[in-house]
Amino acid sequence: MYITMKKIQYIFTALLVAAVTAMSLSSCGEEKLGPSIFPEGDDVLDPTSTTYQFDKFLKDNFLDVYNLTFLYKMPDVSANMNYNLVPATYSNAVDLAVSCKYLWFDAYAALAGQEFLKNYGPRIILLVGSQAISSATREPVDGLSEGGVKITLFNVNKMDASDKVQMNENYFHTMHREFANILRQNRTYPTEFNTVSVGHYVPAEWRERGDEISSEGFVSRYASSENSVDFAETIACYIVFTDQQWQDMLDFAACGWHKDKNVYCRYYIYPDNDMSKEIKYIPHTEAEENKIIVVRDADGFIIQRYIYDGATHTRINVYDVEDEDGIDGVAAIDRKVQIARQWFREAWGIDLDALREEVRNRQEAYNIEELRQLVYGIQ
Amino acid sequence: MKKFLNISLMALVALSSLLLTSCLHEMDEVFDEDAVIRMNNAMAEYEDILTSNGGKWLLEYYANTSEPGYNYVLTFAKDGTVVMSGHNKWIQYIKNKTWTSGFGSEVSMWDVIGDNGLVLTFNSYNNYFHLFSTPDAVPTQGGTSTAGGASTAGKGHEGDYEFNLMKYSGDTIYLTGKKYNLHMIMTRLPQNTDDETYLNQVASYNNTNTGMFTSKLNNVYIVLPDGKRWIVKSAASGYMQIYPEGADEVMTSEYHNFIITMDGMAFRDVLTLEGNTPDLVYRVQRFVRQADGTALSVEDHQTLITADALFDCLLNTTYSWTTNFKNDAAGGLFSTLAAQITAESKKTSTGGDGTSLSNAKISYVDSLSTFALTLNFSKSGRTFPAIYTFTATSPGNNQIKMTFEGMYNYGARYKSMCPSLVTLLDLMGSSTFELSSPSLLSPVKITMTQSGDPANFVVWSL
Repeated sequence: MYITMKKIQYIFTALLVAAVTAMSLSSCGEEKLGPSIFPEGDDVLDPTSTTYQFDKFLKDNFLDVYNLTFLYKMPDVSANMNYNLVPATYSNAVDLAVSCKYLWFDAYAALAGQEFLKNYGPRIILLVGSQAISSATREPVDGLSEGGVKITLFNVNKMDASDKVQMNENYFHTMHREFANILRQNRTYPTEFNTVSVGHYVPAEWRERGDEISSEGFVSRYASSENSVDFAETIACYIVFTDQQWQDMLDFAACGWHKDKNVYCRYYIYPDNDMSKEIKYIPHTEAEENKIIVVRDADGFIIQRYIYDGATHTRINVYDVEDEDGIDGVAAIDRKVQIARQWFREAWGIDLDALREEVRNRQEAYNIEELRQLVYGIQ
Repeated sequence: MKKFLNISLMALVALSSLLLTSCLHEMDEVFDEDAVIRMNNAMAEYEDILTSNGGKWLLEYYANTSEPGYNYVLTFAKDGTVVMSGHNKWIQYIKNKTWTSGFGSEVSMWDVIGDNGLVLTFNSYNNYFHLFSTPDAVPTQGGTSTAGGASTAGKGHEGDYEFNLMKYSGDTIYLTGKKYNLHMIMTRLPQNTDDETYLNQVASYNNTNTGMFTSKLNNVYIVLPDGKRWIVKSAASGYMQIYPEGADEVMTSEYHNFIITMDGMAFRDVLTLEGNTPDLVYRVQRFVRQADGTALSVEDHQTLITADALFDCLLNTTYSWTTNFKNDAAGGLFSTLAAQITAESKKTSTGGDGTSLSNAKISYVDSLSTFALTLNFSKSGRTFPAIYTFTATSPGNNQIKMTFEGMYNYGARYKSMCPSLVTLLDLMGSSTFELSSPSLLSPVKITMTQSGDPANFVVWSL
């Protein structure tokens, strides 16, 4: 058989490649894996630990169900090291954990199912005892959501679980807002929302605002800081506000406001009812507005507001400040709620109003003593 | 062809050798075990160290570089709890909004974790310990504290509650605050130590009036082995100003915080102090309280913290020393004569004016530019000072010899009214007296005892 030089070269090259490949494959024999370098049994709870009951509750209700790590023994590396922070007290951590389950996770689970929370719920909740106060601005932060997976709740040590109002305003509100933030970090919300109050956000000054901010279409002063916050705040306030709180906010939204000597006012009088005299504004403070006597008709409609002047035994008529800001605050808030409602339904398949009802029912039935038994009752 | 075969063969050999050497991945083992296992073992080892023998430790805690150190007695239990006991003004403020030092003790959690090397963390809030780590504004004492106020909002004391475990040696654990990097130590305490008793005792050494350092003296001294003195000011505050004697105070002052301990005191950092010449440098940090109240360096056993000699303290132009001659404040002739003087001044029937001797004072009288013994007689809220000026010498160590020179204000009147007063002045002017004090570092009480007759003494209080 005649073999050309070229073929010899091919054959030799092929043999060379085969030899090299064989050597490279065989040269490093597969070593049997040794034991894991990580200690076994780290996730097994120690029944002799003083925190066993709480750890078991967290494992059974958060870790095993939602793959959620509830960090109550604050490792400072988990928090922003630029802040000076302290851990939560054990007792308050327990109170907040059972409250989170009852008013947040169970409420969402009841409407959207556990799968929803497994997929979109946070993976980490970090409790911090103190506020996070910026040493530069001296402004506090009460909650943070990061990367769609982690929620940090601050100021846990100031929490009084028996005070429903405080819990609602300072903690449940934060929980729902930060969860709304996580949801919007997962699925974008309609850009139409950003157009409702465009041009009226005050990122640098929102802390200096008060109830009058509602007349510009915001549910809270924090909502006026930027549109993404506005979106989360609108949802949170809609869910956790009582009917009275929501109505008060809408009332403020419907008012005209006048800034007099750096104080916002929604009422004014003419001294001695003399319209030739200079208008005197009534500061929007509880003490000042409580002096106003409201007269209603049989249907409850307000027919007159006045202040009784004890010195002259006369009624001084109180007038509403004209709403001259050109913004229909109530309509703006309604529109934002509509967008949020639609987004919840279309993006998440959740009925926002049903969620609101569920949370409210739970707030009504909220009993911290009973909830604590979820932890302290563990044998 | 041959050339090709040669090149190919060489390539084959070269590649083979490369591949063969690549399998030689065995390395010398520096450590016997994997890093994670070693870390876990080290954590377990520290947990054992902390909880063994009763688990009781003294933590010399520093929140920052401008506050005193604070003693905390910690009792570590295996179930993850720790009893944290302290005794300081911040605890007392939390408890009842007053500013005296107070004891507080509370249970919280601890753990040894491995997030940044070996870390001891106190990971649940303890009211009496984490107060140094909260970002809340530090409360001000009467609105005058420079340490607190609104400017500290967001910062607080800036104290750590997590500590890198650096070393364990001789029942001492060396720690470094994880965030602010201050070095601290924990030393083991006997397991039968009662937290409150122990801390009350240390607090008594910390009292600014009667403790190791007093705020009543203008200054004390760090006396170096070569005799060089560094002036010490504000030591009673726990934040000491020091500068070399004779140097410009403003330009050369240093500030150091320190902690008062059961056996003495320790600076947070090592002091490097220059002696009489630049080549003489002394490094000191811990001092032991001696029987005479002074503090002696643990490092060189020579550097001493002490006050002026008692004679110089008594005759300091800015101090005022008083006695009422009563109870333990006088003995022998001093108490006898004081009682007789009062009897004589009180008895109007024998020429007295109805006054009583209320107290006596040794001080510098600016208007007379000299030292004076002032006997204050009082009646119906009015005081009649009888002033007797004197000069003094110190014939020997801690001795005083007074020479009376003149009389001012009511001096002549009471001298003529009270024969016993004449005797007292004769006693004081004719004798040499020995000076002594329970503490030579904080001599707020100086006893003047007649040489040769120790029954006759008077105690002067600053």
